[in-house]
Amino acid sequence: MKSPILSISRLQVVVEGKKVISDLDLEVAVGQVVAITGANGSGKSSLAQAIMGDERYRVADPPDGEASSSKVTFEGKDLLAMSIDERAKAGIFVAWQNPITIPGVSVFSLSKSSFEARGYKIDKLTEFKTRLEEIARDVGLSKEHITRGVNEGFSGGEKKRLELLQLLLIKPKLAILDEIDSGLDGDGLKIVGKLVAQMKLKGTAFILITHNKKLLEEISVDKIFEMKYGKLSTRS
Amino acid sequence: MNKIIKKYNRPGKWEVVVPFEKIGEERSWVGIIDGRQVGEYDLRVVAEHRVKQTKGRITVKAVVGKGATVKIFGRIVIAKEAQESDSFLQLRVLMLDKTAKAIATPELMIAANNVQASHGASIGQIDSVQLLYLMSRGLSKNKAIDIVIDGFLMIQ
Amino acid sequence: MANFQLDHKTKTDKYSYKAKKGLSRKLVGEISRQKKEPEWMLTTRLQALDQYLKMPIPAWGADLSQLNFDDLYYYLKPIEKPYQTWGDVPPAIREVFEATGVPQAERAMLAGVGSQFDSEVIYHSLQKTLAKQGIVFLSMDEGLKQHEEIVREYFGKIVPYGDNKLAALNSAVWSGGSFVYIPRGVEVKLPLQAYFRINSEKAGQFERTLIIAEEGSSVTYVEGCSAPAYSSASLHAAVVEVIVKERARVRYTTVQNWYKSVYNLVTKRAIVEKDASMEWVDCNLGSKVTMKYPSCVLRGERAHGSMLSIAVAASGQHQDSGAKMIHLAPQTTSEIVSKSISKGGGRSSYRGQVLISPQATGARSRVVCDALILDPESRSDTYPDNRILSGDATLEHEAYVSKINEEQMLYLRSRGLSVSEAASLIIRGFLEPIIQELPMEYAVELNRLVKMEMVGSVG
Repeated sequence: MKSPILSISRLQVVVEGKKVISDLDLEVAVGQVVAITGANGSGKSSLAQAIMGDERYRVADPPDGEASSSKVTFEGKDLLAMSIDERAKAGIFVAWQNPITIPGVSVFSLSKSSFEARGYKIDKLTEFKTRLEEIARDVGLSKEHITRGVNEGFSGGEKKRLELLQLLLIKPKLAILDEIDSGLDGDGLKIVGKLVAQMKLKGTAFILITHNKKLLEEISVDKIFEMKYGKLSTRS
Repeated sequence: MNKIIKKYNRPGKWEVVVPFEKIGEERSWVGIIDGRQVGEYDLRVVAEHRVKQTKGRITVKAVVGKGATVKIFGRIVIAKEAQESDSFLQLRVLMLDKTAKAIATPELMIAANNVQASHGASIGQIDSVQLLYLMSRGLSKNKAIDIVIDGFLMIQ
Repeated sequence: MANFQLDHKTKTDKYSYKAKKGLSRKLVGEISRQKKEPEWMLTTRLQALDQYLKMPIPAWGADLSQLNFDDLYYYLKPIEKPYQTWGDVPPAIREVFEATGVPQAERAMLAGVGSQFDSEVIYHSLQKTLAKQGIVFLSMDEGLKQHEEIVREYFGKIVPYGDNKLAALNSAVWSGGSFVYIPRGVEVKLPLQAYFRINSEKAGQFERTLIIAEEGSSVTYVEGCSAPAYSSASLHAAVVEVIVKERARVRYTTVQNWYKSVYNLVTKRAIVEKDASMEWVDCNLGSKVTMKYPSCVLRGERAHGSMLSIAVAASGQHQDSGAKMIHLAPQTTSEIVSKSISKGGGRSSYRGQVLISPQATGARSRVVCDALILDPESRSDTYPDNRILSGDATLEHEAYVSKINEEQMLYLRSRGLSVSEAASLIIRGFLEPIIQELPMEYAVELNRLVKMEMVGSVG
C-alpha cells in the first residue's frame, strides 16, 4: 500500500459513559477513497467525531490490560495529542452530518477564516470573493448564499452543499464526509461524485460514511468497510 | 417532570415560589388566570435555581376581559452555584376588550454562565383568522371566541 | 478610509480656565458669566441647582456610592474659543484628537464635525453646502447665542430639570454639547458627528445636546466618547433632547468607550410626532458604571421609536442600560433590540419599559434582549416592565441568556480556528445586527475594541 495518511489501531471511544467504538483498526492511504457503511447507531458518526477531535468522544485504552493502547497517527504524527483546530490545520476536514447555524457570521467570513487557518494566504480579497462565488456555483449555491449567515435559513440540502463548498475551498489531505447524501437530491449526489473524483486525483483521501447505496453508485470507491457495534469489518 | 397547574378565576393577589434545591431537579409550573371578571389579578411567580443541573418550565396564561387588569411578575433567578441549569418562563396574555389592561414583568437574574435561561412574553388579541375559520364552520362569533378562550386556558 | 480610534492613551495638561473642585451657586454663576449667557439661562441653571441639591440619588440601578460629587472639577476650559480650522487648534490638544482620527474622518465622510474636550467644544465645522441649506450644527453654547429663541422654546421641555437628579445637575452646570437644527423638508445625507473626550482626572463632563428636526426632515447624528486611563473617578452626566416633528426621521448613534473610572449617567429622550421616526443606536463598551435608558415618547399617530443597543461589561464594570418606549397615540410602534456581553466578573443589566397608554389603540411593540455570559464570575440581569393599558395593543418580548453555543464553537474549531478565534467570530456574529447599523469607521473601530476585549476571555 502507498504510505498511509491515516493510521488507526485499537481505537476505543467512549461517549457519556457508553462505549461506541471498540478495538477499531483502519488504514487510509494518500488519495484513497474508503467507504464505511452500517446501520444507525453502529458507531460510524462517532468515528468521524473522534477523528475530528470532539472532546466529548473520549479515547479510552483497550480493556484487556495489554501494553498497547489506542493509537491514531496522521501523516505519521500523533493525532490524539492534537486539539480540534490543530487537526484541521494539519489537513483534516469533516463534513458534518448536521451542520450548525451560526447567526451573524457570514459564509464569506467563515470561508475566509477557514482558508487562512489552513495556512493559505489571501492576496486580494476581491479575488478570493470571486473564487468563492465560482465554487458556490459548482456546488449549486448562489452568490447570495455567501452573504448570508452560516446556514441561516438554509434547507437541509443547502447545508450539505455548504459543507461541499468548504471542502473544495480548503482542499484537505483527508476529508471525512459524514452522511453527505442526506438532504441531497440526485443532482447533488452527482456533484459529490464529481468532486470526490476530482480531488482524489489531486491527492485528497476520503472516508465516506453512509448507509445509502445510491451514493456508492456515484462514487468509485477503493474499499468498503462495514461498521457493527463499534467494530469494523471488510464488506464482501 | 414534576408538573403543577394552578388556576385563578377571581380577582386577587398571589405569590408563588418555585424552588429548585435538589441537583438535577426538573419542575414545571403552569398558572392560568381567567380574568373575565372586573377587577385586578396580581400574580407573582419566582423560579429559584439554587443548585446544579436543574430544569424549570414556568408558563402563565391569562385572558383579560372588560374592566379587568392582570399583573404578572415572573422572575427566574439562577444562582452562581446553579451551573448547567435550564429555565424558561413564558407569559401569554389574550386581551378580550379595549378596556383590558396587562402588566407583564418577566425578569432574569443570572449569575452562572453555563446555563440557558430565557423568557418570552406575548400580549395580544385573539387571532382573527382563527375566529374566521370557526365561524366558517357555523359557529357564532361569541361561540367561536368562547372556544378559543377555552382552548387557550386549557379548559377541557 | 479614515483610521479612527477611541483609545485611552493620550492626554494633556494645558487649560485656559480650571475651576476649583466642588459645586456651588458661585461656580454656576461663573460658568454662565464666562459663556456670556442671557439672563433666563442663568435663572434656569440656578433653579436646576436648587432642585439637584434637594433630590436624592436614585436607589435603583447601579452602585453610585463610590462617586464623590464633591471631589470633581465641574468646569474645565481648554482654550479661549472654538476654532474653525484644524490647523489653528493648539498642538497639545490637536494631538489628543489626532489619535482618534477626527480630521481625516471629516474629510472622508462626514458632513460636519464637532470635538469637545472636557467642558468646551474646541473645533466645529460644517460643510459649506449644508450651511447653505439652512442646516445648523453648532456647539450648544454657540447655538444659544445665535439661535436664542429656538433654544429657549425647546431647552428643558423634553427633559425638564426635575426629571431626575443627574438631569438637574446637568441643567445647572451644562457646557458644550451640540445644537442641531434641520429645517423643514431638508434631508441631511451624510452623518453629523461629535467627539467627546474627558481629558482631566476627576473631571465632570456635562454636555447638553438639543436636536430639532422640523417636519419631513431627516438627519443622522453620531457621537464617539472616550477618556484616557486615570484611576480616580470622573463623571459624564449628559442630557440629550430630541424633537422629531411630523414625518421627520432622526437616528442618533453613540459609541461610548469611556475609561473604566468614568461614571456615565445619561438622560436621553426624544419626542416623536405623527408619522415620524426616532432610532437610537447605542454602544456601551467603557465606563465603570453606565446608567442610560434612551427613550422615545411616541406622541403622534403612527410614530415609531426604536433602540438598538450593545453593552459589553468586563471586569469592574456595570452596564445598566436599556430603553423606554412610551406609546401615547394610536398605531404607534416600537422596537428594542438589546445585545449584551458580560465577562471577567462584569455585570450587564437590561432595564426597559414599554408603556402603552389607553389612547394608544392598535399600538405594537417588540423587545428582544439577548445576553452572553462568558464565564462563571460574570452576571446578567433583565428587568423589563411592560404596561399594556390598551386592550387593542400587542407586545412581543423575548430574552435569552446563555454562554457561547458549544456546537458553534466545535464547528468553527473543526475548521481550524483556535478557541479564541472561534469565540471572537461568534461574538461578532452575535453583535452583527447592530454593528451593521453603524457608520463604517465606527463599525470597524467597534469590531477592533470588541476583539481586544475578548482576548483571553474564552478558553
